[in-house]
Amino acid sequence: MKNQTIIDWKIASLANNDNSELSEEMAKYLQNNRQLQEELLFIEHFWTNDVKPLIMPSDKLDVNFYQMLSRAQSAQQQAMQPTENGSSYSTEQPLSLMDKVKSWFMPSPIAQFATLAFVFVLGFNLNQKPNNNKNSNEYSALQQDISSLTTVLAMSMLQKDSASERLSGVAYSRQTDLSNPLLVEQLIALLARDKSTSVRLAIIKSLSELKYFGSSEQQLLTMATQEESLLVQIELCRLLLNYGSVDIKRSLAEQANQQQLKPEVREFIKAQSLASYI
Amino acid sequence: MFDEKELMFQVKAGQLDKLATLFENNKVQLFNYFVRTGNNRALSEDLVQETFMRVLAYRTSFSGSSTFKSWMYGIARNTVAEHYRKNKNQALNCDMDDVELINEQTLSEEFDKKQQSDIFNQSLASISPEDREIILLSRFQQLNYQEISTLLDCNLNTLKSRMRNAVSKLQMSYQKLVGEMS
Repeated sequence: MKNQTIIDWKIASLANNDNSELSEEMAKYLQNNRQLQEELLFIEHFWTNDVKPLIMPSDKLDVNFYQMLSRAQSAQQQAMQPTENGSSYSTEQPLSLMDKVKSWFMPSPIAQFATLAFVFVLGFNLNQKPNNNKNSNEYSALQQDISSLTTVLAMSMLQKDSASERLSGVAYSRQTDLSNPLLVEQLIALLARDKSTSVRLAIIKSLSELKYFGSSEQQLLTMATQEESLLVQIELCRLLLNYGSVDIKRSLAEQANQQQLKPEVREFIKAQSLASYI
Repeated sequence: MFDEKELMFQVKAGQLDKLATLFENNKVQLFNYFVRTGNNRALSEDLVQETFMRVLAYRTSFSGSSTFKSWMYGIARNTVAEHYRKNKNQALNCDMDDVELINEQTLSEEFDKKQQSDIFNQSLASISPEDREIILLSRFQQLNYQEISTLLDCNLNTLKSRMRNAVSKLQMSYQKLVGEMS
């Protein structure tokens, strides 16, 4: 018991949690206990030794953090604008002139607005029906431009921090024909790690329009078996049962006979398999 | 020296620029916390970024009942736990391999002078993540007992007992390594 008390005292005093002195009784006890002295010496040595110098993170961390902060600030400003206009008793902090000037030149809203305006103009032009070969060629070229622009916009939105923006990204991805493998790859990667169930469900819906998953099929199967959200798991199973290869469907049916999947999912797979068989 | 709790309250009230001060004040320590718990540099940077994203996202839940540091490390622990839960294929910790790699990078020039430090590092890396964490929080992240007990959700006596056990295991590992080297 005394050993424990003395060790506690030593650690606490080294960690600046205790500035009290050791009592006379404890000090005497310590004097006669060589093993305890060695233990205390080790603890003191460890606590006072410069075990390892601090490692400095790279500049990338700063860049990423300040980008994130800047996005949050511009989102906050955007969110506050309607309140400013619509309400006379807004409680927000007044912005300095410098902050206002900075916000006008924030690149992301301008770039997004310009892209959206460009897509709108292109879309408007495309509504005019082509009436000759030349127009037909221009029409398909414009269509390609729109598709690639929408793809870029979708990929950009999928990287956003806000779930609603990522949902917009998924919606944009549906406007493309999902022919860009990078976009499909990004969607599947997001499906594997996104925290928002809505985003993941939307991705599954998008992938169902693809109808062929190629080399990603196995990855989707793994996700389907390991997914924690019941809803997402069932939708993933539905996706694979509807559009997966014969091998994948067979693997999934085999999983349904094992105990690894949740009972609801097993029942769903069995019911789906039976329905397709009928 | 500024009051971190007060700064966090300002962030909570909408002054997001104050988060930059909190980030600058804590980023190196937090990054080293992730590195010392066995994550590689790139992942540690991602985890610092993710932690501060969550600090921002959950700013309204900061009540001030604990210190900012204690609250931030709570978020950091959840972030890393969630990362490994989502990436079950990855090893939970790189442990010795990673620590040795870092040693090569950072201590190679003064290896002879700091041989003992190296053994301390290896001892630290060889004990369990739970024991290591409790030592790291006190020894390196300089959190006091009150902050650690809030963070780990245990009372002070339990914390003391866990700390004693962790240090005891560290000492055993240290003695074993010294024995192997001599």
